[in-house]
Amino acid sequence: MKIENATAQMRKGVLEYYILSLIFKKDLYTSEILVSLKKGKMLVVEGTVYPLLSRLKNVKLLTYRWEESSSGPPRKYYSITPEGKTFLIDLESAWKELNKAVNIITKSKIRYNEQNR
Amino acid sequence: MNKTVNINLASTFFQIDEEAYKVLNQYLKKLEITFSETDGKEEILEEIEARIAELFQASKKHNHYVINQDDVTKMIETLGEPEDFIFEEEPQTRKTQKSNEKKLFRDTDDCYIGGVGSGIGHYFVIDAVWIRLLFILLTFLSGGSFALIYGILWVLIQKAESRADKLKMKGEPVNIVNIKRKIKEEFDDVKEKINQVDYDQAKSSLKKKSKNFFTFLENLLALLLNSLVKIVGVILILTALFVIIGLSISFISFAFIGFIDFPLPMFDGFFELSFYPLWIPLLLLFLSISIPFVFIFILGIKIFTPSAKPFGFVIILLVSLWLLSVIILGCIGANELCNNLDLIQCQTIEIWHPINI
Repeated sequence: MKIENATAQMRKGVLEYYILSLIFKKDLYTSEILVSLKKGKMLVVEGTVYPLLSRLKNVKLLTYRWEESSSGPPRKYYSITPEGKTFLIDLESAWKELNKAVNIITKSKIRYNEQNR
Repeated sequence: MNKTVNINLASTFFQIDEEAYKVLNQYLKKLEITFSETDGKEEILEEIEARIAELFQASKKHNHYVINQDDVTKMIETLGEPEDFIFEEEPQTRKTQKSNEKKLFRDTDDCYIGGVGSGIGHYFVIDAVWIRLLFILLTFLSGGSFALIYGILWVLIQKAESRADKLKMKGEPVNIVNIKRKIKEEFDDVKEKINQVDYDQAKSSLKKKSKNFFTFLENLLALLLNSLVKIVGVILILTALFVIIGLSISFISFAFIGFIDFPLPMFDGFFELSFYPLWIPLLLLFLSISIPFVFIFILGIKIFTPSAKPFGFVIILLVSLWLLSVIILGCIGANELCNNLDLIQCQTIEIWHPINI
């Protein structure tokens, strides 16, 4: 099994959570979202974001508006909906639980390794 | 020297050289196919187009810059290949997978009778011809009663009417996107090649010849298969016709003329029928045997002339008539059995339960 596949799967799992949190902070247009995702090394290729955003919009967790920009074509600004906020809160608690559970396991594993050394 | 093409991406004007244009065009087509089954396809494509425009804008070094193949390749590297897009959004794929599940429909675009055969063919990914041959074989082996099953299938299986139905019928596999894309790519490749060849007259004629040869082979094969199917159709028609005529004659002579001279013991019972005139059970018997042959007859006609009108209404009528006569016949039979056999003994068997001891 390739390490890239495994990490890609991990990222994939939290991508929605990441994007929703990002837009929760501030309304963003697509390129800004891409920049942030790339900084966070959440993306392998950009293309994955578009269908994801569209899906989040279709299930009404996100909404968007068009805004004129001084340079180039109008931009599509995404903002989070009230439903999106509740969803995000649920995701957050799920993430914390997962984080805790994973931390316990991984820490104990490291300790186990140290003891055996 | 290179030709350049003027394009308009998300309302932004670009000059792009011909080779790069081809690559870009193919990429956009692939994207379109990838998202063909996704909700909000238009929006996704629009946004991607806008992003492509943005990336191109960034690689434009001066006003008269012509986008070249390197720029397009870089853009594709950044955005990723369409198959990678789907990878990261599992719920969506699961959803499309679900809608891609195969469903059994009747394919009325490709039918001899009701499209049951081709529908089943699509379902099991077998050429419909084999299903049809199997049907015909089964019809013979089962003495015609299979035609009834066909009729029932016809009534029960939905017709594939909408485009979605047709897709489901053909059951696009899970990786539909890839397959479709491949086919499309291949098709484009071939088309492009043919286009190029057209400029080159010498090659062109050779290509056409070989193409003609294969078309000829294909036609020949189709013709052979067609005539085979037609022959089977004629056999079906004739057989069914003979059986129906024979049955009719014997029915008439049995029921009305009263000419019964068969040494078959099973007919003796008919004289002892107490409540019904003789012709009623005979008519029912006649119907229940002959209707399946009518089906075969219709099947034969449909096979012989596929353009013949569908017999939908008649079939439903016949099926109901057949079921009715079989059921009534069964009732009469049971009734008579009870009347005639006074010696039915009911034995009660006590079942001993060792657990109760």
